[in-house]
Amino acid sequence: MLLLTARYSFANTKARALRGRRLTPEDFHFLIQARDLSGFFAYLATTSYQDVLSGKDIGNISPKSIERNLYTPLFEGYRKIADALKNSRSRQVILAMYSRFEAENLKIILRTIVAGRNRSAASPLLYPLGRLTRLAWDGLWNCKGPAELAGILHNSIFGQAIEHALPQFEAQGRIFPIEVALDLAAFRWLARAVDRLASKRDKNEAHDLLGRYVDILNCLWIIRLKVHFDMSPEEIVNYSLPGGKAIGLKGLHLLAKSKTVTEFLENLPESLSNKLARIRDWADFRPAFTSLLLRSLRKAFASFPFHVGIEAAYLLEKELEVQALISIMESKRQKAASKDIKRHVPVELLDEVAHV
Amino acid sequence: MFKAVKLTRVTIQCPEEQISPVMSVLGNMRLLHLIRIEETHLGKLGYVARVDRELLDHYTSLLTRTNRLIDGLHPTQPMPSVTKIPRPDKEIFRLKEVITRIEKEALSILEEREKTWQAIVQDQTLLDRLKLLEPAELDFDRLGSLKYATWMTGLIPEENLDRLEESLSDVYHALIPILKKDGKIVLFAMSLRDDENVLHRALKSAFWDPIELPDNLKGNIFEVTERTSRALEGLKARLSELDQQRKMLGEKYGTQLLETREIILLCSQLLKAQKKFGAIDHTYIITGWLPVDLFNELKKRIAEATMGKALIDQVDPEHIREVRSGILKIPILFNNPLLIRPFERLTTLYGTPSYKEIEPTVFLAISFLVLFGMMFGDVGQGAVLFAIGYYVFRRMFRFMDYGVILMECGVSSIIFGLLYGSVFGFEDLIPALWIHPMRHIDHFMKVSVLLGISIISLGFLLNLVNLLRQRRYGDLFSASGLAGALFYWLLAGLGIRYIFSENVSPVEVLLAKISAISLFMIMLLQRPVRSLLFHLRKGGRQRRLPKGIGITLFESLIEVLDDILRYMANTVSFVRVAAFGLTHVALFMAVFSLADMVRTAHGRGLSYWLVIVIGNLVIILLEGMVVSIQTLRLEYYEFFSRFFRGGGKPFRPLLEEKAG
Repeated sequence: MLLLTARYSFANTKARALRGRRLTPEDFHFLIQARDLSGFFAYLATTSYQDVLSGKDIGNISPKSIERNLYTPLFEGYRKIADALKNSRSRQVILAMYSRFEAENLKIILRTIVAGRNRSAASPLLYPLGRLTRLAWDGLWNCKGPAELAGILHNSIFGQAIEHALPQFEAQGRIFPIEVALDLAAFRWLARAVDRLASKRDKNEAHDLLGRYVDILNCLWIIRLKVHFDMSPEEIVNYSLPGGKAIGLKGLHLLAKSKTVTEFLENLPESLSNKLARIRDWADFRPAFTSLLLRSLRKAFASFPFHVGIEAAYLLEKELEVQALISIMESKRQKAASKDIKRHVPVELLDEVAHV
Repeated sequence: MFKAVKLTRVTIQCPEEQISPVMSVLGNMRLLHLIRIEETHLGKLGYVARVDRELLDHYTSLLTRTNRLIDGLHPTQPMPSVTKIPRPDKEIFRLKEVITRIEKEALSILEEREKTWQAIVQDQTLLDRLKLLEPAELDFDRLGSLKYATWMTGLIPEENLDRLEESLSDVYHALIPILKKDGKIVLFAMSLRDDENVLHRALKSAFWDPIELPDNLKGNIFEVTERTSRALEGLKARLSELDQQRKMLGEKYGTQLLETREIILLCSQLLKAQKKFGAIDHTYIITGWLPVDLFNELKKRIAEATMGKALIDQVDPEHIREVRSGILKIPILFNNPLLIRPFERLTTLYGTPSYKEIEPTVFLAISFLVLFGMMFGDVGQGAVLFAIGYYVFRRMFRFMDYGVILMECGVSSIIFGLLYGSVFGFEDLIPALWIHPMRHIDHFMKVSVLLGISIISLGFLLNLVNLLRQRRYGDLFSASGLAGALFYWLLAGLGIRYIFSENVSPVEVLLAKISAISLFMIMLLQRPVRSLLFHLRKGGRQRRLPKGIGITLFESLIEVLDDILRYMANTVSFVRVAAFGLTHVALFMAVFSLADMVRTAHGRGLSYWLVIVIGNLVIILLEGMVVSIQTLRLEYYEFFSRFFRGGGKPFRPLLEEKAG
């Protein structure tokens, strides 16, 4: 206990201080109520996101580029938290979480290379990863294909993952297998990093929080692959993420086989199905799961404070905040009504609006 | 040697049908720097020749065929040099015949070899795959006879096995791990034929890397391995025979193929050069720079090749208006002896001299070697430098020039080593023919300064020659011209007199003062006076003085003072020659002190000599590099800056760069 206190007190203070800069329900209220997109940006410039917008001519920047820019504070947060965590094992958990975004950027580079497009067109789509990344991005852009990319990434967690996916990339003639392999590599690292945490309590807390997160992601992936990509259960199981808490392989298989929403709900573990009983449509799962996740993240801040889960919770919460912002921004672009926009934002971010 | 080769501008006019022989003559002469017709008034009017695309395409396709043969036959003969360049339009027929003849004999062998090689690769791959499956002891006859079941072999990442098992849990299946390899599991997967699609989908999503086997395998895996190994041996034997035949063909046709490729490349280059030609109706115009001495030879050869149908004339650069006005630059063709030529690299590193300038390579080479030798004088180390230079010269073709420079530096170092009586720092092995620098520091310093005065004076003289050649007579009165030179020599003479006799008479001082003041006034007033004269010539009689004359005078004063200060600084700068020469000796002393310490502790054994050897190596590398940099600095900053303006254009002879 004393050791954990010593290990996490600085990082915890850092995480809590950073969390103090999160958008309040009042901020979300005004952002949703903004008359148009320029009103949205005008209000956003008064929040902790002002640095992201300062000096930029928003009108001349592509929407995707603005979206990516909104992630800058998140990656700054990753850097600060990683710097604050001197303990290498808990730092690994944060770096593993961060590697999900490295995987995303690698996918963008791969798509660009395979499609024969040029770098300048794809650059605005990249996440602004900042200084924490150790991958040689410039070298990656010069690759001729995935095999060369795997060679350059040989010493990273992604190298072997791409190598293993190459035969299927060649057989199927599309980069989907490599994309999945990259995601799996990042989550496999995350699961391993959690397993390697030195303290049992640290490990349990981290597994509890991140396991829940992986469960929710797996459920969302199953729905996406099933409903949107029409994939068979046997494929979906193989594409599921490792490191879940409440849903094992059998559970994932059952969910993948579920034909209706009701059947899906029945196959969910009780801890989840109880909270989602009202859902009748596949589309309603995403906001519901996001709300569930937000609630569990907030709970982490109110419980035992000295474990890596606190830092992870802050970073995930920030990530969801950015996603909510992007969702509002997109709705504003499409001139959606405020009440419709509200439906896409997790209710946890909107409550406590006491000023109106 | 002291100036660039004298060039003349040549213009050739010939009918369209004679362009090929003319090109052939130009190719053979090589020393013609083509002027792009586009850059002349004709080009601006649109009279630009077209490249003969059709013929060029023939050459390109022939090059591909030749390269294929060369790649296949791997000729080992040395690259032949083509001395005579034929007419591209005529030569193509001969070249085609040569290549077709060689193809007739070689292609069947090369194709069979390629097929045999592919079969070997195929069999080898099959053997590698069978080896992976051997522990499963598969019987392909039995597997082939299965009616209701399907099977496949392949690899999956280790971590995917559990998920694969789960994904197939709804169908009858068998997953048999055979062995582990590089993070993957070799797997034998089986299911009912009805569930074949499920099995496929599951394997695909588990990143299945199939081990594909031919359908016609008979017997068990060991029998198949045995049969394949035997077939492989047969194929290898056949490949060896074919390699032998290929080698013989390579020996027979190698030189011819390499020569053919050279000719193709040269002809292609000649054809591409056509885009620099001009054309009016059916007449071609070629213009360029040629060494004057070669003009008559060129004229004769072109007349012979075209049966007198081509017109050729030359114009002296002096008579070309664009040259006089500086729009058109005459390229510089260096003309130095073999041993000096490598130093051209150092000259061009500073700049390319203009046509009317002294070509300074020979002065650079000599002064470089003297300065280097003075600072790095040692017989032993000079010999090591020579050896390294020789190695570079013989083994590293690209750096041959630097090899020669190193060898020459080595020789200079040896000569100064003899003068200093130093061999690898030992000063008691041979007698000093001149001085031991450390024992005559004063003298050594004086000599360095004298050397500096000589080099700077040479710079002044070369600048005077440049001024006269370029007819910049007005500049003779400037600080960098004759007035500046006299001023410098006056002060230098006074300094030398003082250094050596330590006694300068009052009369000498008075005379020097008068001369110095006169020269200073000349240098100071030359610009304002020239400005005044220019003003008067332009008809500015209504105003006595031109506008801004005061500023000109002030600028002139600053300029002259700056120049005088720089002369002093440049001269003092040469003290570094002595300083680095002494540093060289001091480093030796440090090495010997270390060696003596070792000797005191362990006797004069291996350790002692090891210190001497390592010390010498360090000195060669460290001091060698520092001395080279310092020498180059003295050359560029103290010497070249006196007279070298640069801004010239290098001579690019026709066919300098062959097409790859």
